[in-house]
Amino acid sequence: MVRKAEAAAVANSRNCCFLFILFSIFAWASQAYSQDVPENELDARINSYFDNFGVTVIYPEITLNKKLSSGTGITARYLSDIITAASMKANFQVDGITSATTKKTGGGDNTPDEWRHELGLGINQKIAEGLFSLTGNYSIEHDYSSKTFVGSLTYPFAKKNTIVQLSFLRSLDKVFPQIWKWTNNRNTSTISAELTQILSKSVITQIDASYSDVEGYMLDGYQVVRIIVDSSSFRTLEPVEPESRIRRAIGMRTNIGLSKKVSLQLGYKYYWDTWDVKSNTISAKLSKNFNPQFSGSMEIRHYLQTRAYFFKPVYTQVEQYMTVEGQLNSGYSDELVFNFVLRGNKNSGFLTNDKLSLTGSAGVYRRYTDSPDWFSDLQTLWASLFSIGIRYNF
Amino acid sequence: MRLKSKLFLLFLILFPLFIGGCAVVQPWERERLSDPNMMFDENPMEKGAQLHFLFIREGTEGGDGSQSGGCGCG
Repeated sequence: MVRKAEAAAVANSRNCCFLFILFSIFAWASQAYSQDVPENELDARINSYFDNFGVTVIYPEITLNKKLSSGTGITARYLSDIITAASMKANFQVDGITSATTKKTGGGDNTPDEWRHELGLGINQKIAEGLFSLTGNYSIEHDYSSKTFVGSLTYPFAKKNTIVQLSFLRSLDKVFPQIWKWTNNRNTSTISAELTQILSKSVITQIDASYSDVEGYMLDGYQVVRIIVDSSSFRTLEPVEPESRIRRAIGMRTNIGLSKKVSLQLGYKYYWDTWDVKSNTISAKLSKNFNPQFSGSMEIRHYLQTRAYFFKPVYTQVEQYMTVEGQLNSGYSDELVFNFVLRGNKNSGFLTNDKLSLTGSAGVYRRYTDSPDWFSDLQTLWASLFSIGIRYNF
Repeated sequence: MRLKSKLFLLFLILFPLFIGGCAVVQPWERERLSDPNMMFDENPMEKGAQLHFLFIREGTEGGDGSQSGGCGCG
């Protein structure tokens, strides 16, 4: 059982790379505050994740925004994704090939088991009333690399009551698992359109639609599928997934100022793809300014997902497509997160630099899948999340 | 009608209302909107971290929006 749980940790932690790179870059590349060049700011943050599948993730990150002129700015980011899971030292056999590492760095006998480095550079250029942003990103670890480019154009209309943003992302990834000699490619193209609209003096809303075309090898190269032959024996094979996936999503968020100090953000997202995965997400975030220096928020989120058409809890024969990825199973998840911001103040006894802010968050996450995890036999995953960071305006 | 078609129809209906149905709020009337709490994803790092952890565990992507605010004071 322990070995199974560890295996789940391997699969899950390695699967994160691809999606995380895309989403973190999108989040970072779209950070331009509406149509303006970002102000001079240095952000540093340490994030952590711990779950009952035995995975620990620590990732520090640092971002610098520098305004070169009123219409031009540059941005740079470095982050490190450090993953520890005892699972990566386990041996799994697939047609006689084991997961014992054949390379000298990363995984296997090393600690941490994975260490990803990511470096990004970007430029923001004012064009008339709008802003054009271009970002390049490179991520590397011992069995995966990714080059990503993001371009976006943000433009205001109607006396800046309406802001439209169009974005394009192209990602070129390479997967080279330690247990195999091959290298496979995975290429992603994503377009997204976003509309932010002021509805009144205290209500603002945002609609976002995205379309993503992913081609190539979708697996991580380490998972195995069991084909149950009878009650006492099974075969293990490599999973097989389609090499094309079209992913679409539409999301809407509205922020309502309930009073001078309190705001409520409500969100809904619908997602569907060509693997028949569909999901609905609802979220709510309540924020309050307790005083000019301290503000906090509480966020809840509920997520409901169907499974991919080829996902089966148990395979009894070899099929064209087979997978054990928990992300492709049906189920639901819930998240509760608390955030705070403490702004510096000369009269404060603790944080006297008024250019400095301290930020942090703590949360808990639960995911339930409709069938037990193939490796751990668990249906419920519990995770805790902690972050702390500083923001310095200069 | 399939769910996808229904959603698309809903989107088409709401979109013109969304654009045309709201009064223009002047820059000097945006004090409340300029509050950091009224911004979407005021802290991009915070959002990035949250997405990181969520997308390790879930099978969807996109539709999460980006940082934006209503101040329009740039």
